[in-house]
Amino acid sequence: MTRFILSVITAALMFSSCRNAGDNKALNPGAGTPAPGRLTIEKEKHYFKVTVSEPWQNSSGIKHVWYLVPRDSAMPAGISEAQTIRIPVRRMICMSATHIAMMRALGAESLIAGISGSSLIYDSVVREGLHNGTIRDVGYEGNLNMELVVSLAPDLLMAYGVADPSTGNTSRLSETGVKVFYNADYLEEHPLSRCEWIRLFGLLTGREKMADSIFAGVSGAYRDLAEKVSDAVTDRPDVLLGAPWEDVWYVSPAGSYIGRLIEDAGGHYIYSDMTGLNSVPYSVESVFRKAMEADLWINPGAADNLAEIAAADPRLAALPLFREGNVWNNRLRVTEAGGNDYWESAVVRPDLLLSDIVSIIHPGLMPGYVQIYYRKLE
Amino acid sequence: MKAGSTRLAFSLAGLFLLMLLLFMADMLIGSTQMAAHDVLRALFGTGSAGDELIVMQFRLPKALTAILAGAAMSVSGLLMQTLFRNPLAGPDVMGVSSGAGLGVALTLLTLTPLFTLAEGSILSGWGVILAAWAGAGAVMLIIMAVSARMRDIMTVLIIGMLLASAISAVVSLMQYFSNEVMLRTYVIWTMGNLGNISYPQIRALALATMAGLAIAFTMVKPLNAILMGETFSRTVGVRMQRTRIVLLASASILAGSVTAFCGPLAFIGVAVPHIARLLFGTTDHRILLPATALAGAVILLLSDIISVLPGGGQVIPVNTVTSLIGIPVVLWIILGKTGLGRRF
Amino acid sequence: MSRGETIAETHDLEIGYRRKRSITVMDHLSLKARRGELVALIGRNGTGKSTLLRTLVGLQPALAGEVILDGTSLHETGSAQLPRIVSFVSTEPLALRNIKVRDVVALGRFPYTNWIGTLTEADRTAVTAALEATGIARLENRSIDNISDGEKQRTLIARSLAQDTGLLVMDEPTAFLDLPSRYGIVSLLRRLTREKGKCVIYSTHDLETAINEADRIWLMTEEGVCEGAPEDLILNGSLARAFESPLLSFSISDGTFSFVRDRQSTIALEGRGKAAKLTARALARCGYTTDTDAVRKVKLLEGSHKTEWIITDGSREERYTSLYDLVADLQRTDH
Repeated sequence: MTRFILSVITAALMFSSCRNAGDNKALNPGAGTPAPGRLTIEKEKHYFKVTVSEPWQNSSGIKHVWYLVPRDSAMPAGISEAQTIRIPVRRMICMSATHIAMMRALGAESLIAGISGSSLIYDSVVREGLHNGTIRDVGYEGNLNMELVVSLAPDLLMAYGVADPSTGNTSRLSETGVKVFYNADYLEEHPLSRCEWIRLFGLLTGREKMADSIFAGVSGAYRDLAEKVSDAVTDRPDVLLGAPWEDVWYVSPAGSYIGRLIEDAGGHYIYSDMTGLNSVPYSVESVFRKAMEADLWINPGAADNLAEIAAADPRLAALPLFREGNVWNNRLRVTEAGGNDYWESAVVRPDLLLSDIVSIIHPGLMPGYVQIYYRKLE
Repeated sequence: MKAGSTRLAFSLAGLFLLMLLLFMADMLIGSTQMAAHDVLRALFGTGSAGDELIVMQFRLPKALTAILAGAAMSVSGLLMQTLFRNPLAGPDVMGVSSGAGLGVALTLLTLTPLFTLAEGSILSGWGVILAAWAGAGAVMLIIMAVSARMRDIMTVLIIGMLLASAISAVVSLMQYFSNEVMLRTYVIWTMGNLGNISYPQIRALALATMAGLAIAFTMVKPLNAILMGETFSRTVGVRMQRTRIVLLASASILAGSVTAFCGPLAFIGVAVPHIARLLFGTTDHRILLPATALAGAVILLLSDIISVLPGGGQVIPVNTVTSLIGIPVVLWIILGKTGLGRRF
Repeated sequence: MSRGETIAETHDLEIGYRRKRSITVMDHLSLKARRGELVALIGRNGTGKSTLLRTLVGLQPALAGEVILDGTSLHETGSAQLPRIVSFVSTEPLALRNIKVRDVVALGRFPYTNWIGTLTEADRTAVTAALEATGIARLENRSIDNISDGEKQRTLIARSLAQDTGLLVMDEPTAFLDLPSRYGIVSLLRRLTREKGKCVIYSTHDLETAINEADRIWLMTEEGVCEGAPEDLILNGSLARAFESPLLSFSISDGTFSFVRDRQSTIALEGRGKAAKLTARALARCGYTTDTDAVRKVKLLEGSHKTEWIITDGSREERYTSLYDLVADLQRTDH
């Protein structure tokens, strides 16, 4: 019950504040084609210039520039030490589960010295590390254990900014000499743009080629599937997303991560005309109205079964899609404590995610497919 | 004298009618567009299934809750204002809301929730509610224990306020150690809500409200005497200790139940008794009690209607609206040309 | 129920406070009051008058001893019965506004009305009678924040009356009132005892009215309480002892207190009657005692319309048309 509620809000948060730099349209120019992401990597002679645009919510115009310089090379002229990261990195602290997933995909988990929010981690290797003390939990942004961070002597702390860093604790870390990288992957609204950040991790860990090949493979598979879907479908089922809490339903905008997945998978999000930046609080009554016509319900918070949804708000049980049991949630791979692989490995494999969702929305297109992240609720 | 009492009876009847009118209006004006005749048809069971669902599952429960919660919170405030002889007393001041908030915070903000109930059991929808009730009840018991030991009612008031602050501090601490997700959940709870209450829950709220109001009504005689001071009341025959406990219990049942189901509703408890006093120009609780209950229902129905006015399905949290109504009233009490407590 | 019957008595009463340890204000108090009696409780500040009255009506527990009201001990009197036996008016000022005088008085019927407080015909009659007896019937529909202090006091007394008790106890009912109001209240209390047969016990700092009007005085000093008719206490000197100080002296013949004056000089006074008395007073204020053998003499010339004074010391004469001028001149020439 509580997990249900918590994940509703997690979903709302994760999907909120999506702003596509310079592009307001919900639909993409071509199926599966993302607009430019926030990560730009430029190769200069022997080092790399990495630019992160709009590193946190509502930060238009702000860019962070980092120089990734190999250890054995000389420092390029005119570049400050503070903006430089020596690669490959030897020890890293990852504040988000996504970062962990990317490290794991590259086989670089041994470089992880610390993480944040240990109870919500899915990955078993990292949990093992937490259990035997090789990986430490440094706390949340609000109450970061600074002494622990400094004592772990990381080359880099990979953070995600929710608001201007001056309001948090991580800015103070820079003063202690720990380099803080504001990773904006969670703000990317297109699954491929989000996945592309693995290239950054590849550079940081000295596994550049592996990262590039993973990304190329994933984006190729994603695009192929998206094209196949857009060619094949004639009718797009209506999809409901999210769940309410206390008579408020925070409705994600159409341009959100899951919104695009639905779109690319041949579905129609019932709020597809919502082009705003953040989730909007609607009354349950109004969402219910629209949902009465919907065919499928995807991502209803943290519910594991239909009874939980009904317990939280009995009125939802009257929805036709509920009565027909067309409810799917991304909780097939979860831990007891609440960790969900949907937030971890799925970020690195959006092609698999897309496959899951296609098989939910258009089962005919993928006969015999077994979902990896999604589960039909009973 | 006779003329006065008939006029009062008429005024009460008028207020009751106003409440019925707003009750209907609240059902006709929802967050989605629905034609009046469709609403009426749905109420009488002759409308479409979809319409009936909307009206019976969304609008009717909300309107009923508004009436119950409005009456309960306002009377709770009236009882506290008389008992403490303080025009600014109310359930939020005495820590009932904070206590409920503590219960909810323990449920939502701790990583290993202390009140997780079996998933899918009939109680699982009640987790937050029970926690809120328990919190409010605990605060009530502490206040009553303090009241039994303290002669001076003012001391009890101050201790209540300090208790409220202490609990808020503890909740802040819990918030500090949570992540954004949990925080947002808790914050949304604090904004108050009149929807999301099932019929079994409405029955429970109705029961608690009726019980609280009934107890309060048996106390109108002592309430009238208490206004003149404790010594006065005691020498006229009021049994102060017993009266205090009954009044505190009644006020806590009323406010605690509402807060458990609807979250902390701001300003209703403090402002509505004054509105009732203004409208009826009396301090006689035989009139003031029903008047306050009706006025509270009216105000909360009005607040609910206002909260959906932005249109397009978007809503304003109910606490925002009640604050917008309540704050000017409180200001008027303090600054009005007749001065603080004059109307009291 | 007859006049003269004892309505209140204390046996070996000990009054005080119970905090961490008991603080005794006074003990071994054995006092009496009868129906139809006006009892004035007087004493210096801090002797415990309020404590005694509050203990008497059961607002404060006695530390030891007994209080018997209307034949029953206070312990045994039920909480429903007590307000029918004794009513109390405290010193606390009325905090409430916006309530009618009549409604305040009606609260006195609390012990008799039903659970919701409906007034019967009998209740209403009692309220009206109380309003009339206290002379505030014309104010009955006014709000209590709209009347004078004296009228507020009368309202509380009316409430006390409406309570229809044999015993009325009041803690400083004349405090903060002006002179005519004070007299008015005391004469009202007097009438209540005479005409209605009530026993009224009230504490006061106004010695003059107490001595003149009360049937019985309870005089509270640090040693205890002595009781008796006012004249008894004057005669046996307790009153003088209680209040006298280097600055104050009590005149038994007048029954009043006056300042102790430094008497410096003597002067003879020739004259009789009221004017002579008053002249002697004025002279005394300036430190002159009258002595027929004195050299200087004040002669009164009482005319039909006015009085004149002549001061003569054998050689000179000075004429004055007012005592003020006379005294001022005397004082000037003496310095």
